[in-house]
Amino acid sequence: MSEITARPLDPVAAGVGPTDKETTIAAAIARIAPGSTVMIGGFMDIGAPHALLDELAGSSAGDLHVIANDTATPRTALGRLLISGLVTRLTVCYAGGNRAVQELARSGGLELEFIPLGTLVERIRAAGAGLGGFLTPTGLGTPMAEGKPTYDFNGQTYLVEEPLRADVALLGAFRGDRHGNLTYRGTARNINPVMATAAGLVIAEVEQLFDAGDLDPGQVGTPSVFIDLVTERPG
Amino acid sequence: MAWTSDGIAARVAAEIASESVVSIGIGMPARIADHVDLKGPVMLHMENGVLGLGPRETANKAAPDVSNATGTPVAVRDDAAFFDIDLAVRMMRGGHIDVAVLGAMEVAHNGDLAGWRVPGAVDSGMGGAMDLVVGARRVIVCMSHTSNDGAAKLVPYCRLPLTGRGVVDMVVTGLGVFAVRDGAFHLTELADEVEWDEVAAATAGNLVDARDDAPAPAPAEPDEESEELLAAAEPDGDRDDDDPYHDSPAGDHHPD
Repeated sequence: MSEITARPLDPVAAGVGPTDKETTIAAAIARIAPGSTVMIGGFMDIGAPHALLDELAGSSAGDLHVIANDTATPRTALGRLLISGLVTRLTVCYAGGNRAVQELARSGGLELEFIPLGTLVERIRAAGAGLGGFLTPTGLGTPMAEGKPTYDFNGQTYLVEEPLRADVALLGAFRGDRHGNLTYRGTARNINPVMATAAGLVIAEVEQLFDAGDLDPGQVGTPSVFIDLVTERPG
Repeated sequence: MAWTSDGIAARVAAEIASESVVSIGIGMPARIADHVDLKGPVMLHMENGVLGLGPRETANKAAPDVSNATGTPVAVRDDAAFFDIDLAVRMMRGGHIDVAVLGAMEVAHNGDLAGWRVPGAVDSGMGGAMDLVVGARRVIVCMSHTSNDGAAKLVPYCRLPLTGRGVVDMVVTGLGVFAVRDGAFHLTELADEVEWDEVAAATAGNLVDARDDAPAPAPAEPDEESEELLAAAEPDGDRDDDDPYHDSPAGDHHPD
């Protein structure tokens, strides 16, 4: 019988399991092709991946469809990206606080779509959870219901909603390790964890990057399995 | 004198003092956090992922990354919790919120609520308001009594795109407190130094005097001035941007 050691297996040293996902801001953004659908984490700029957004706004990846919670304000990295001309379609639940985006949409420079917060999050969750859609009472009797199928269930009418997936997700987190585990701080968690589950390429920008094994497993808000690339915010 | 925005927020804070979980929207409702006792029974919820919200703070005094739904730094209770939006919405839509307090552009006397879009003029979006009105046990609207141009916001029916149908239970404006039931706004309390006539002139929907010391129950028949406001509420299909019936883009639904 072999000896049992208390030391956990180091997957990288063993050549199995997750490998090093650390990259640079520039290398991460270079992976985004023109015409991509990009989910962007954050809630009114709190928990947003600021360095990734600044890099994207200066890139050549145009004709982007951005999916975010909100438009933040014109002073933020997201606000600058949205009026950079690179974004042609925008899906959010809230655009108040950013008149520039509202005006761009009214002038035809941006296709702006609103989805109620709960439906937006649940559509993303459904995509990441392998579900074909869901039934919700939210939006019944409002313009949100127009053109949507309904389903009667247990005496109640629901709207039928589809999953929402993206090519890329850009996330912000507090700490991360090189395998992609993420922790969050305060209210900066917001829409980041759910977006981590629903994109083909998931890139996380963290304030502090640690070696694998240096984060408390109990504090991990997004497990490494959902993350493809992780990069430390400069400065 | 009519209540200021802070006066309205303070009146709503008194209204919810004995409730347990109250979700507040952005704009005027966010001010309620400045009037709620951090050690009292009320746990304030906001859709960005906080339960136990406190007053707004200066950035250097608040903990890092602790904000309300407009991104403003805030204090929180000792027994507060932070969570992601998925969980925040489950609380809202799933029936775990006692009262939702929202701003609005229009409320109709049947309880219809409109507050996310003025076609051609304002594209604020609904945020979590549509989820709150289907899930909260009680919905209170706090807003100015009339638009910036003086047009009625308490109307017979909403002309703006709806947030929810028949969902509003109470409205608190600068002029007073109104219970919304039986197809009318029931005035239960006047703001300081505001007269009934002022309320009647600024309200286009059905209005009933339901104060304890009200004379005889007033009929819900609109007077001549209200008829003018009603006429202004007629949908005209295509509206122009300076239609005085609507809020300017600087309406209640923008963050502070």
